[in-house]
Amino acid sequence: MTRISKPLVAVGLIVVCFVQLLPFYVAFTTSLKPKTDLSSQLLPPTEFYFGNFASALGDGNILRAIFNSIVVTGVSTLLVCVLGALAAYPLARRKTWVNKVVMVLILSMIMVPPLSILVPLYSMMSDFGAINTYWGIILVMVTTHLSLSVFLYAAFLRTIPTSLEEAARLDGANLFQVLFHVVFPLLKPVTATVIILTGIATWNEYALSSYILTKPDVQTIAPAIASFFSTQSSNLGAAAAAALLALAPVLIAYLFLQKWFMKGMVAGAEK
Amino acid sequence: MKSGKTMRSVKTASVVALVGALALAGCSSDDGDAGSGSGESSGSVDATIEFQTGLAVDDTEAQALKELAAQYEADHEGVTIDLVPAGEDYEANMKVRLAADDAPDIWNTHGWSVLRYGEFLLPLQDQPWADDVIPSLETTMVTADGEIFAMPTNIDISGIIYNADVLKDAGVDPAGIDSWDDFAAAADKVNSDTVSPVYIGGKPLSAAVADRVVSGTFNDNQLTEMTDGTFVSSAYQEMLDIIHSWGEAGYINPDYSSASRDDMAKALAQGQAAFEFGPSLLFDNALSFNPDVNLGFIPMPSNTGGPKYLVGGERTAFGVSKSSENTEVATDFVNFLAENVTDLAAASSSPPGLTTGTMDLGPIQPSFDEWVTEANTPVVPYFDRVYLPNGSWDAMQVTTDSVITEQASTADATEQMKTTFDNLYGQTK
Repeated sequence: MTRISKPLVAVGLIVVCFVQLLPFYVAFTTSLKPKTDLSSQLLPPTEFYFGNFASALGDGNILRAIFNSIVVTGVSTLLVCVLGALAAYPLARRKTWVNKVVMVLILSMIMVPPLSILVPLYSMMSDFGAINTYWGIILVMVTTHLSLSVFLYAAFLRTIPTSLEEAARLDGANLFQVLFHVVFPLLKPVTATVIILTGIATWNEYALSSYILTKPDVQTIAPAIASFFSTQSSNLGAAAAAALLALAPVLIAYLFLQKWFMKGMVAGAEK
Repeated sequence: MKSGKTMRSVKTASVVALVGALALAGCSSDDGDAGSGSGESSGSVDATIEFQTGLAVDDTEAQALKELAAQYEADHEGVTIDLVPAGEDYEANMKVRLAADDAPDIWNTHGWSVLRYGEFLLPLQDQPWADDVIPSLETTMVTADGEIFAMPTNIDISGIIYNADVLKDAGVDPAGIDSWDDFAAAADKVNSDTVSPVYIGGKPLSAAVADRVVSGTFNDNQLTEMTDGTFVSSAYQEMLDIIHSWGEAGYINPDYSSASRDDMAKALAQGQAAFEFGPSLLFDNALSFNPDVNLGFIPMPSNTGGPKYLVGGERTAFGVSKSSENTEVATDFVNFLAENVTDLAAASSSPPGLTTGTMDLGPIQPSFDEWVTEANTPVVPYFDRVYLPNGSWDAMQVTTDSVITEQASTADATEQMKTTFDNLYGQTK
């Protein structure tokens, strides 16, 4: 890198950082101002006002919402990984015409916009007694993300040579031993990708959650923050405070898992 | 090495703090206000009432409901009132729930207790408060058969909302605005780089303007024609012509396309708007941004030679689902709310929906006294709720917006509205 290009790259990175951090700065200033402070959101508060955080914790029940989001995201992501890998293995290894049809059907499910099936989905969930329950929203999250997971696992499994499994079988391993001791450990990179895609999508999910989770006790973060807005009134300050509080677990998760985040991002990009 | 240790400590401390906070939240969620009641019990029915308030979780009305629900629970052992707040997509949420036959026990009918929700609600005309419904609500809340489907806690009543300080600075006397020409003269006086004579919160709120102005361009015969299913294009176009003339004269806020309801309230609160057309909740919202702002309202001018008029109707009202498994308890709770209608109305700074309530409108009280109590100005219902078939609101938004943004002539926009009217009216037959 030349002497001239280094500062240019540095300036470019600073601009990118600024653009990325600006929404957080605006959320921060908004959350620390009372509703009567109508100054620009870009200006810092003249004095710190913590009423919005009190409202986010009290009225918004945001800590409960964070707990709910962790439960829903954790269980959904785990199930999507396990079920996705189990479903993808036979689809990738046995190339029969039935499996090809099944694969096409699974792929076509990725194309279905979730909101287009809202009313029948809600009716079915209501009949099951699944509205406002953890298992109900987890079921919906798993089914909406499973098809992409199966596709990714199947594509990755096709790149793993079958000779590894044949060697294990010759050594006396049964199918499940081959699967759990040989195949699954090789799926770490694609699993990281699936975890990131499913985890982030489930954590931020609003469209379906706002219908299925209406009660504060089971609401995840997105619908809980939305409850500060109605057609009659809105409280941007409290919503910003709630959003900032909800950031904490994501930051901590990133602190621990940044190595895997980076690996997951570039998985498949290298041989 | 030292920095690595520090990093580990930070990580450990953050995890401990987070897990602790979440554990506390998880354990304390069901505590509620169970221990705060008086212990009196006038019933022993076990019932959980799901109550879709349609209000933001920290709304003042929602807070008043929370207190009343806790009081009711304390007096009725075994009864739990689950207050469910709403996001901005409350209407869509209710439509999905009703389509799936999963209605809550009680819900906020927000102006649609008869036309949209009537078939799903329990008739409540035999309840003790039914005879006390404010007369101006009867047109829209009482059916021809005398059925009432919701208990109104407050009413929405307004005309042209104004910022008194802005008008005073420009030397405009709002009480002297008797015609749309007077309005244009006043708008010319207040128009400046910092003040928009008419502030509209974008396309969604454009229909609110049309819905108020239009009642003054239809005469009684034309209204009867509309009721009978004939769209009167000339009167509708007259309304669009009025709004179009404001756009041409530069009265409408420059940020119209991106403005929201919140922006309307902020503009009113900050003296950046002189006049606004919208629901009376704009008063509450503006006062929440600036409690010291001087606001008021005047009646709408009529173009048909009739008297000036105010527009009013159902605002917050609660109905009981007829498919509820706990209709008795739900109805009893609604009756309990009716007994406390003064508190609920005061929480929204609106007149109560029942004659048994007393009024505390705060800074808006002088306008109410002048035009409602003393001048006895006629209050007409929302035009769309009475004279347009259900589903017309979107077309009203689109056509008014297209006129303001110069995407369509008033004649073309009227023709588009007529097509929608004819289609929707045909479907209701």
